[in-house]
Amino acid sequence: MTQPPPADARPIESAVHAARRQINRGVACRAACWSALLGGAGALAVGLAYVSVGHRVPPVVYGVAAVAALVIFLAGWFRYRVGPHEAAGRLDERFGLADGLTSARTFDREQKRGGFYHLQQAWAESAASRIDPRALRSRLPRPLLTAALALPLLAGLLGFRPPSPAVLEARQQAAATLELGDSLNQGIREEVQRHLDEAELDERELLEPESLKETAERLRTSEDRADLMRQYAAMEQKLADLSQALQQQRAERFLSDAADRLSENASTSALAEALRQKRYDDAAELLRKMTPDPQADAAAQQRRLDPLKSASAQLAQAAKRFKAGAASSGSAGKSGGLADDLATVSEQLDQAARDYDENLEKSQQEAKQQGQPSDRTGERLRRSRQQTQQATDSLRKKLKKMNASRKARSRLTQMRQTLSQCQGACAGQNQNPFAMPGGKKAGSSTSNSTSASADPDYGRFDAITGQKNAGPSQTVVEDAASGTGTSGRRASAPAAQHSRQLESFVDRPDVPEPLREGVKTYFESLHEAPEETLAP
Amino acid sequence: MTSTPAPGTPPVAASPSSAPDAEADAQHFVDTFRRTADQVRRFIVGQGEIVEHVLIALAAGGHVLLEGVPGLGKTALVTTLARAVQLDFRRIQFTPDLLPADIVGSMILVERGGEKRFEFQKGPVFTNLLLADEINRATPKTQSALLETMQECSVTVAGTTTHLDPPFFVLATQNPVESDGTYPLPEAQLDRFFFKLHVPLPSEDELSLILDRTGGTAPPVIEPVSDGAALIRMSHTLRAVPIEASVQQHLIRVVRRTHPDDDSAPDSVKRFVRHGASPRAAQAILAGARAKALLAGRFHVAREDVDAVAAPAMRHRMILGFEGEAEGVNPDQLITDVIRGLG
Repeated sequence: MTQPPPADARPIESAVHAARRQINRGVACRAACWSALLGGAGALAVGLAYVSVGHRVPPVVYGVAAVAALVIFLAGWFRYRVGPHEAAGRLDERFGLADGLTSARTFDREQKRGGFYHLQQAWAESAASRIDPRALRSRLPRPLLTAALALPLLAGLLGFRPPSPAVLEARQQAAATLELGDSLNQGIREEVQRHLDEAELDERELLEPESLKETAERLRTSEDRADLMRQYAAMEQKLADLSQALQQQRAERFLSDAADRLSENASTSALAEALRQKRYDDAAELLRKMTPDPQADAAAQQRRLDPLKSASAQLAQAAKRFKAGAASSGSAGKSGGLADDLATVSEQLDQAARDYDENLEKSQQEAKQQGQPSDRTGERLRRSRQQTQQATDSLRKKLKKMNASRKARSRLTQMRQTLSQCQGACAGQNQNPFAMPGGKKAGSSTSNSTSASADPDYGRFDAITGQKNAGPSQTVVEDAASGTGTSGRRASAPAAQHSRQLESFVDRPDVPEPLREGVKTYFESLHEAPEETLAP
Repeated sequence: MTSTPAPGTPPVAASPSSAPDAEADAQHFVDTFRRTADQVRRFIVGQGEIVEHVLIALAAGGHVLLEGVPGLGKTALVTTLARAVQLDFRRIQFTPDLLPADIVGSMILVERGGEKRFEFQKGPVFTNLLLADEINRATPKTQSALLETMQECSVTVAGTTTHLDPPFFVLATQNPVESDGTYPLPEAQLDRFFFKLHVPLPSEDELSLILDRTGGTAPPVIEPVSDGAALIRMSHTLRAVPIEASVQQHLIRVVRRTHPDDDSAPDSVKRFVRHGASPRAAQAILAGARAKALLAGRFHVAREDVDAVAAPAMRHRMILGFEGEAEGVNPDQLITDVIRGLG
């Protein structure tokens, strides 16, 4: 039932504004319904996706859906709301006014008066006074209304669904992994810092402390154990590279050979023992005691020179043989920098010691014959003594460097072992190497305990088959670069596999015959060299 | 070339500036229109829309082309109308041997006071209401003799232009162009017709009524209810009826969409039409819509008025392409598509 609009001085505008309010109210209702429907549908779809994989619907989904619904509402409102002109058109259309109100408003706005314009205005006002704009009210479709209410409600109810046990466990595991990663990273940083603090100055230089600390600082925790393992493998690989660069096996072999020779003489047996046991610091100290003392008298100088002369001769012999071996294997000057230096310095020391000995003897003779050595002889003696001192100092430095390198490698090996343990901890094979004693509180474990009844073989030890090291390795190895392949860290492997590998190392068909012959010749020359050297 | 002023031209009525004048003009328009229509309907049975459109064209000062098979009352409609509006009426039966001079007149040698000279002898076109019966039976040359007359209301013969007395209306009838012995009207000629109306076959009841009215001994008497001055006043009244900008835009879009190169043209227009309606079509639609508005008791033009007169104003102005001609496309359907596309 329609009622006539209240009397108004401008019935056209009154009707148009009433119609506009009515239409825009309907637009707002429809926009609200559609925004609720679309927002609810979106939230429901995303919520179902979460629930289907066992997760709880995160609150942010509802926040995003609400914002999206608001945007849709505003977009719909601004897109479909009507102005006075459109409202007049709707009234014309609804009440069959044949563009009457639209025309009247336009003519009025354009200030067109008189004649037919006046008649038209009167006609439109008369028509406007007869209509009821409330008839423009539109009802919302029931399906739209139902969907607009139901979908957000369903989406909201979905938010109360708890996550599945599997997801809870996965979250706990992720949290535990994060915690483990934090703990391991912190432990590694402290371990690195401790090694650097404990290292001596020359040892620190070899460890590249800045690079090492930066690598440790870059470690980050993760919810993914494999990611953690990759990081540790990468760092371990870096330490392995650093350790490889400190390789001094040839130098040690040279010094070991020299130690064998030095042990034949009683005056150099202490030095030989120090070298054999790779106590290079002690060896350097023994050499220091043999260094010529210019303040001492000739007899004292001769006493100090004798063991040095003997030691330098043996070292020179060892150097000759080392160089001969290197020449035969074609590796001279290639990679053994320190070994070559040692051999060269040994030869220089031998030459300097012999010159010093000769000049010292000559000086003593002239002193006996003339009361004092000539200036020329004294000058030669002083120069040869200086050369001997320099050669001895140089050899001592090399030995100290070898000692520092050896210690640095030892530290690197310790750090690699720590990283290896960290990877093992990530793989669940061993405990956190930095864990403090005491363990976790009861109930804070990351995995659900299984009851005895859940495992049919629980307690049946006779059902356990196999023996230690007989099965495949359980170690998970993550490569630093790609996550595949093997790292430099040794993994526990079955004994049989080890034996097969060792056999293959000994008898390798893929090594070319000339190279095998070269190796064979090298080892034979090592055995033959002493006889040739000692023969004259 | 000389030009002579049209004799007896009535003064042009000023546009009504006051509401009472406008109301009086509108009332005069409606009354005259209805009285004339009533007189015509005393003799013409049915054809209500045809009668209305013919009268709208007369009120707007336009010419009408009536198309239909012989015997549908086209000529009777025009003769009845001529009696009702009390105008000077001439009829030309167009035949293939009709010459232009037979229509507009010719210079003849006359002797007056012993002096011989050429004088212009007016043809039948010098009238108020000219019935060009079966116009498409004349040759194109003769048909085009009406071009200047219809547009300028003047005749130029031997360099002398002579104006016709207003009002001047041409009501032409033509058989469908498919008939034998017909010459299609040139586009320029067609464009000068305000409306083209299709005269339909009468229904069974209408045919019965026709027989009753014409078969008796006392045919209906047509009384004159209007005159030329009234028609001119009606024409000026129409020009004062306002049209709102959006309605005028609607009219323009209707005309524009009949052109195949217009982006908004419907697919059927793009496919079948070679040339769309001319600006004269827009003028005719506007005048016709104004008349429709007044007849509907309104003082403004509405979209529905535009749509109502779009077909008679544009159907003869849309030139179909080859495909349209081959498939026998009806321009009225194309116009329906045009209007429907505008909602």
